[in-house]
Amino acid sequence: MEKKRYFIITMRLLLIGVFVISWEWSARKQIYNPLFTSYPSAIVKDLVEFYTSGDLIKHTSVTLHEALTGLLYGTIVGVIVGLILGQFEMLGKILLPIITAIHGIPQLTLAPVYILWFGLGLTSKIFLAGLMVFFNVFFSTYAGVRNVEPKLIESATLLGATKIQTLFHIVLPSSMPFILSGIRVGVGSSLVGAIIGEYIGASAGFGWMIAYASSFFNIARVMSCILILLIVGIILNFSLDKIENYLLRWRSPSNLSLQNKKNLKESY
Amino acid sequence: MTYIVFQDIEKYYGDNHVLKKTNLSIEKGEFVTLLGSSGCGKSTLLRCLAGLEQVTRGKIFLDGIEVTHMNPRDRNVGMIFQQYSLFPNLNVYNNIAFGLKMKKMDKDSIDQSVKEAIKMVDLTKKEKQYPSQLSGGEQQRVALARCIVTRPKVLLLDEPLSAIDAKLRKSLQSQIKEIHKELEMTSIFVTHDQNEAMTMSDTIHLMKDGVIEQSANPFELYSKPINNFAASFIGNYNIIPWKIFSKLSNQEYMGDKNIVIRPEIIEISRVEYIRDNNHYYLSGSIKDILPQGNIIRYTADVNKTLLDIDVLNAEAKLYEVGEYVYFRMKKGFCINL
Repeated sequence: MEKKRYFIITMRLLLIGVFVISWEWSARKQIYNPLFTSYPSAIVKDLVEFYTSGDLIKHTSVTLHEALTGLLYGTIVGVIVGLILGQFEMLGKILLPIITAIHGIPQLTLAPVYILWFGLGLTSKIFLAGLMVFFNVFFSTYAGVRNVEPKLIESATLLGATKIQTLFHIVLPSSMPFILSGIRVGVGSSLVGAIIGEYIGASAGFGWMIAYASSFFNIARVMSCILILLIVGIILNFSLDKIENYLLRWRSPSNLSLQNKKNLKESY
Repeated sequence: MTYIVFQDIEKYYGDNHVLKKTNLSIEKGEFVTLLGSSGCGKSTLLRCLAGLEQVTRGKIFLDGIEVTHMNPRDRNVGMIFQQYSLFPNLNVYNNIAFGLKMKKMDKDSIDQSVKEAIKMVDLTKKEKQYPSQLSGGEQQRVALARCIVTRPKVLLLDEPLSAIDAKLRKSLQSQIKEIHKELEMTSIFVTHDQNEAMTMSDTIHLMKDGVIEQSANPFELYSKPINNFAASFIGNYNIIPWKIFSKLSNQEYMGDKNIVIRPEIIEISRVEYIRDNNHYYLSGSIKDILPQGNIIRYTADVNKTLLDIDVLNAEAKLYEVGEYVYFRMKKGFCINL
């Protein structure tokens, strides 16, 4: 088992290594025009410069601030609305089609409107990110609540639990797998929301940086930003894994992350 | 005073008339079984007592109080379901403690009661496990402990053992019985399995299409079914119209009735019996042999009427398919319905 794991990791690193080296080699040999893709050593050089100039920290913190704040608000509102609509069937029937319809509008088309409403600052990006997260979390929470085994609720009622107690002790924890999978998708959405907002109108953040650098054909900088976003994504997903393993310690973890072999072993 | 009373209970699901003026009384401390095939309304009756279903008409009394429209959480009724229905996010200890926590009892007395209940259902050392780590039998024992720990006025068991394999079911049956004896807790058990009903109950109420057909103790229900349905549901009676039976056994025609003969009261022999007035006599050939462990079931063809005979699997003489044999049965053991 252990051997197999090392093999998988070695192969994975090897694959990435081969890709990076052939990218570098083909770009230096001018097999194609490196203007469009840049190449690894140029990207590393740019990253160093990006960091030492202080820009890296600045733009990362702006984008992360927007995305994470959006994630937080979107999640809170999504869970609350999902719980309420899941609990009160009539309310759900009235509002669900409306929410679904709004969700159908591509958020990208509304981004300029939000900038008009909330200005060029952080608020418009947080709103966009939050809204995108809200839809993910809301729909999964709603599905989770509707999926709670009715006999669990009956059991809780017969054991003397009030409606509120049942909601917090039974319904919410039982829906947790659904809610967490909503948040997992929401992590991606929050970054997308923040970056789209920055594309359209901002003075800082990765979205702005990418738009700015590509207009000057500074592809190395674009690639640096993408690399940072990739790392941010991995870290966020990893943290989410840890949270999920804790909150869902009563069931086996999902298989979405790199970490999973270890997690699976720990849980058994 | 009668502990639980169902008075003229009617229940409709849309156009479906599930309970038809059902009346039922249960004494305190009794272990009662509602027996019937699926869809006969037995679970619905139970759910009405728990308050999980509202009756369309009629009244329900529990411990001298009318509970017909009372909120289920105020009825103090414990219920166990076929699907265990344990809270998946809580470990064994917290599942059992749930009811007491909801009642805001203090921590020490919760701990004491929970430990007592865990001991009673033999789950010591499993307190920290989650339901997903337990077997079906263990889960059902947790469900049982979770119910009894709150000391409900009545324990309702809705086919609790149907999803559990045969061997384990026996041990759980006796565990439930023991707990019932120890706590003297009035219990209503719902099942479609007549053997289970026989082993468990003080009284069996046999239900069909929302009506209670017969209420009796297990012995009486088995030996004295009051109608054809009861006879066919309990045990494997041979039910033969008298019109045919009178011809087969050279008896006088007893009118438009059926004779009902239990398979185990029929005696079987290779030699013809000497006739007397206390028995009916038949003869025919063996058509089929079904070994069932401690008994062997023979199916005989008596002039084109099939007859089931149960013989203890202790006798050396075994009959073969096609063999012509003689039967006799005591008149007093046969029932006319």
